[in-house]
Amino acid sequence: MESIKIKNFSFSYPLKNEKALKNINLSVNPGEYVVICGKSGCGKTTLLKHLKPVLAPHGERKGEILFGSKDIFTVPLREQTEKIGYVMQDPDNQTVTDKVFHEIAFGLENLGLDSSSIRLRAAEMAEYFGISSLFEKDTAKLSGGQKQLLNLASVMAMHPDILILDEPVSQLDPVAASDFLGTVNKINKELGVTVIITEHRLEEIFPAADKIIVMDKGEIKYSGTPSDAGSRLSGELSFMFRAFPSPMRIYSITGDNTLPCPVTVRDGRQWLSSLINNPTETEIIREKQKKNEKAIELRDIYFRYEKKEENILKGVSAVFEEGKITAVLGGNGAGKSTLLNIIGGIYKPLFGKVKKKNIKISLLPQQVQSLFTEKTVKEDLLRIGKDYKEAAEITEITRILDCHPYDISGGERQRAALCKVLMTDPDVLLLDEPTKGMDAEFKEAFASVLKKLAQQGKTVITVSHDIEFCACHCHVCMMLFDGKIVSSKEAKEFFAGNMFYTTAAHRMSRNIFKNAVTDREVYKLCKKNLK
Amino acid sequence: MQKKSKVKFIINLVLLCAAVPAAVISGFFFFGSRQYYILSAVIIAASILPFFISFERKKSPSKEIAVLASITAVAVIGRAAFYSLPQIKPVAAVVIVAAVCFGYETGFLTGALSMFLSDIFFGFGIWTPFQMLGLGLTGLICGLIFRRSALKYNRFVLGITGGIVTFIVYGFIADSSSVLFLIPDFSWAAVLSVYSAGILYNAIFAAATAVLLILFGKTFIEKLRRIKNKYGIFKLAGEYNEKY
Amino acid sequence: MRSFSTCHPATNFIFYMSAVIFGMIFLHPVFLCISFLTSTAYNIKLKGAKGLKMLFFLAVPLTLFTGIVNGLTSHYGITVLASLPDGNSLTLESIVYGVVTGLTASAVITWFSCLNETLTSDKILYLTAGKMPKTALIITMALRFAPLYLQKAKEIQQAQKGLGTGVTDGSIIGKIKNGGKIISVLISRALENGIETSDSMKARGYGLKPKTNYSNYVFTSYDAVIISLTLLCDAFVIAGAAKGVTYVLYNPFFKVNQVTAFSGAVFIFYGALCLIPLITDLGEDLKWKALK
Repeated sequence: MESIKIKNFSFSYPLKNEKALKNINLSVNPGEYVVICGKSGCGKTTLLKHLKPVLAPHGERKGEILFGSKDIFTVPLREQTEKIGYVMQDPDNQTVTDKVFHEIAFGLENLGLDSSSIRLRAAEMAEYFGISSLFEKDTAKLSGGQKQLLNLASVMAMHPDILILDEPVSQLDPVAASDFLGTVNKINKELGVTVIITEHRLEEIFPAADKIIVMDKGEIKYSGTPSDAGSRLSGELSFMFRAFPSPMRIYSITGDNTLPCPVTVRDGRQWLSSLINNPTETEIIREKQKKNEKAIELRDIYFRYEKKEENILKGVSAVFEEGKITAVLGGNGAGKSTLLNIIGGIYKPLFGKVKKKNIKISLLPQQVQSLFTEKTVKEDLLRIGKDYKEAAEITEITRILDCHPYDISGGERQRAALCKVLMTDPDVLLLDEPTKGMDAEFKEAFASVLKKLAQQGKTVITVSHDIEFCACHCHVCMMLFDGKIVSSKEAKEFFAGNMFYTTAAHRMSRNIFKNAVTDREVYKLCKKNLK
Repeated sequence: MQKKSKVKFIINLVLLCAAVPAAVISGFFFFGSRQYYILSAVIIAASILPFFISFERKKSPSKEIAVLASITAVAVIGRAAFYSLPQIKPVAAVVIVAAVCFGYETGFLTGALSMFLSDIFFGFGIWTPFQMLGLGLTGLICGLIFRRSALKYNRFVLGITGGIVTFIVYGFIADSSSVLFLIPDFSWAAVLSVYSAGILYNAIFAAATAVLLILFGKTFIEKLRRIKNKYGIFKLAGEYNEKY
Repeated sequence: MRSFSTCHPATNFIFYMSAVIFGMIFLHPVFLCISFLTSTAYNIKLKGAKGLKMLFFLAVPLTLFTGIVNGLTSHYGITVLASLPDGNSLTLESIVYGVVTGLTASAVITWFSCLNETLTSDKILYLTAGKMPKTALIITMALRFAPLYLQKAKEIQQAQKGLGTGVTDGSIIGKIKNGGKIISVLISRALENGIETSDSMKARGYGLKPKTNYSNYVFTSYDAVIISLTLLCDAFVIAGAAKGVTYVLYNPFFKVNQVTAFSGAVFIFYGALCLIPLITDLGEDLKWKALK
């Protein structure tokens, strides 16, 4: 097992003045689980790519990275391939071949193993990752979560010492994501493989982490244990506040540093119980939202894609009000996106009625690349209309108007897509999983754009897996289950009633406070009780 | 190396262009029986193979492989799905654009492979080698015509040339398989009747290709060129072109 | 016995090469009937109702069509059946030869239909990978991309619709425009996708030498037996053809060589060759029954 040591490493991209990585010093010991976090564009991915030289971008490098005792850039391709595994973000794009077994074998073929050893390793991987029933299937038929597990298995088949993962679960739904992270955890604990991972969803990886690295603007700002980082959240790490897990955020706003910072919900509960012994105030009193006019009403919608399939929607009835942000939640394959497409008029319901006034509806799809057809962002916007300035300012994309839509970062692309959709001047804005892969900072900015739109009287309907986002920013939440809307309530009330399907803040405080859903609410009640 | 490969290439091209008519005619006159079909299939295979062999021998960076596979997959989709009208398929347009941007050799490979691959989905038949050669040659010829000319940016020149090449080369070669297969005894009338039966289909296919290239050819080319320049792939093909 | 589709790709390939080539060049009525009947029977075994459909909606009409057309357009032969309105004569030989052409075509098409059922994409890849690894890699990647891009094409279509920009007037040019737009976005996404995939290839050691080719297929003694049988039959049939067993004349009159013990044996070997897949499949069925 080799360790990695980075000494005074700096890097800048060609033709750019600012350094992408500044004076990085870091050492990773064999078997460690290291989490690198930071806002989008802080240099996480650039740093990771330098740990797998074959993927390292062109540019000017200073300082050194040692793999064991060797300079990592002198490590031959064969050794790199074997010892350093790299899993990327998009489950689809990193799958090379058409069959599952061939995908696992791909790296081993390149290494020149003979058929019988490949067969053995492939069998071993398929068993360990629980994908043996998929062994002869087409990779195209796998779900996103299965695809990403397959990508992990194909890398692990080469028996690497170090596993590097670049936001591996950002495109997955929560269930698949925790399944994947659980497997990574198992690899680290059972096989002793070093794990270096970046991710926006920190709740699930912090408990497993030995060390966390916080980066900002190409520099390492912090390196230490998660709990220790949490206690600095009110101070030097305040720029990361929004990205950290709920218990850590609540800990840091209460400002009480006598106890160690909790990392998990379980720790958070214990911490809260020891902080507040006999609570007097246990309830948040919320004003009832006033009823607005109906924008869209669905009545008994039935729908299926193929004649022989079962219905996906089985009698959906719902009302969406003007000037409100409504979230439709639900498990994977519950038909949320289908419902959105029906509201948008892309599919016609088999039975039932979509009642709406003569209004313009626009949909922001999950894969926003589909919206761009031109050479520059500006030309793309001009396709919709001449007056792009206002929408561009709202979505803060004036800086990137002359870039190619595929040369900008994921977050920027999301913004540009939103801008394009806004330019159609919709009365109803439909959003399909808009927060997928967004960092915490941009989520906040995105939410404020949505709120602005709602204030202008527009209707926003979003489909999402993102519980925290819906709890904090939506007005109404609906649960789609078994093809029907089973519950429709004001957002906070909706989550206050649930035990599993709710925010971390609520799960952490349930036994003490009745209905606190967001961090701020928990904090408010804490403050009242501590007085 | 340049000179040698040039000679080789010309021999190859002459062989290719002569292959099908030679096969058909020699088949009819010398064998007068079914053997000519086998003979022509062998000649066709022999004319396709050199391209693949030279491709196998070349060093290709992973990016070229992946981009080639990507553009082939798009062409396959262009044949497999999309339109409610039967012959309006963008497959030839995609192949021509790939040939114009990435060089004639890549054009040939894309054309031949996209036909081979779509037959994996639709089913192989005796027509497979003919279609492979047909679309491969369409790509190759368009790649050669536009190998360094600025004319490729004139949408009408590109569209009309593409349409004509598709009509003549692809139409003729693909229909040759039916001529060879369905005509029991050689007579010019019978041969003409089979070719003319296919003319309407081929004309629609070629016209749709021309319209697509006129409307979108430039956009497609810009997209491919952007990738070519951004990642520096298929450079060799370009340089080779220039020296020609 | 094990069904033919579970055999090694090489076994399948050698058989189909023999069946298609012999089916195409032998016009002798006995050979023709053997090829047509066995291919149809195996096709029905493999595909059931679909195989029957192919027989009645493809093979029969095709044979009738070529028979009639050749009868009406060619006028060679000595057996005059009737006089056509244009003064030419309708002859038995020209009709028969038309039917022969139709049957040959049907038999070959049916063999291809069986081939497409048993020689899966994976087996084709195996057969290419040995000699042409790069081509095989492109094929497997394109096979992986095609369904993915089809999905993306749908997404693009929906996205344009959702924005209200994907509307067409339904005319031909409108349809071409709409399709071109989708292809245009698809090209961008496909290229971008390809570049990312190439990173994944590099990360997993693409370009290292020497490379091996893994396959799930194992060459068993059963395959050896089937291949030897196929080649043995091939040899006999070729020997027969060399000796003139397959000789046939349709024009100007019908003539075949006298049937001898040797030619009888060749017929039997040809029949055995064409029955190989059907027999192996039926053998497996019988074994099932016996084991239950």
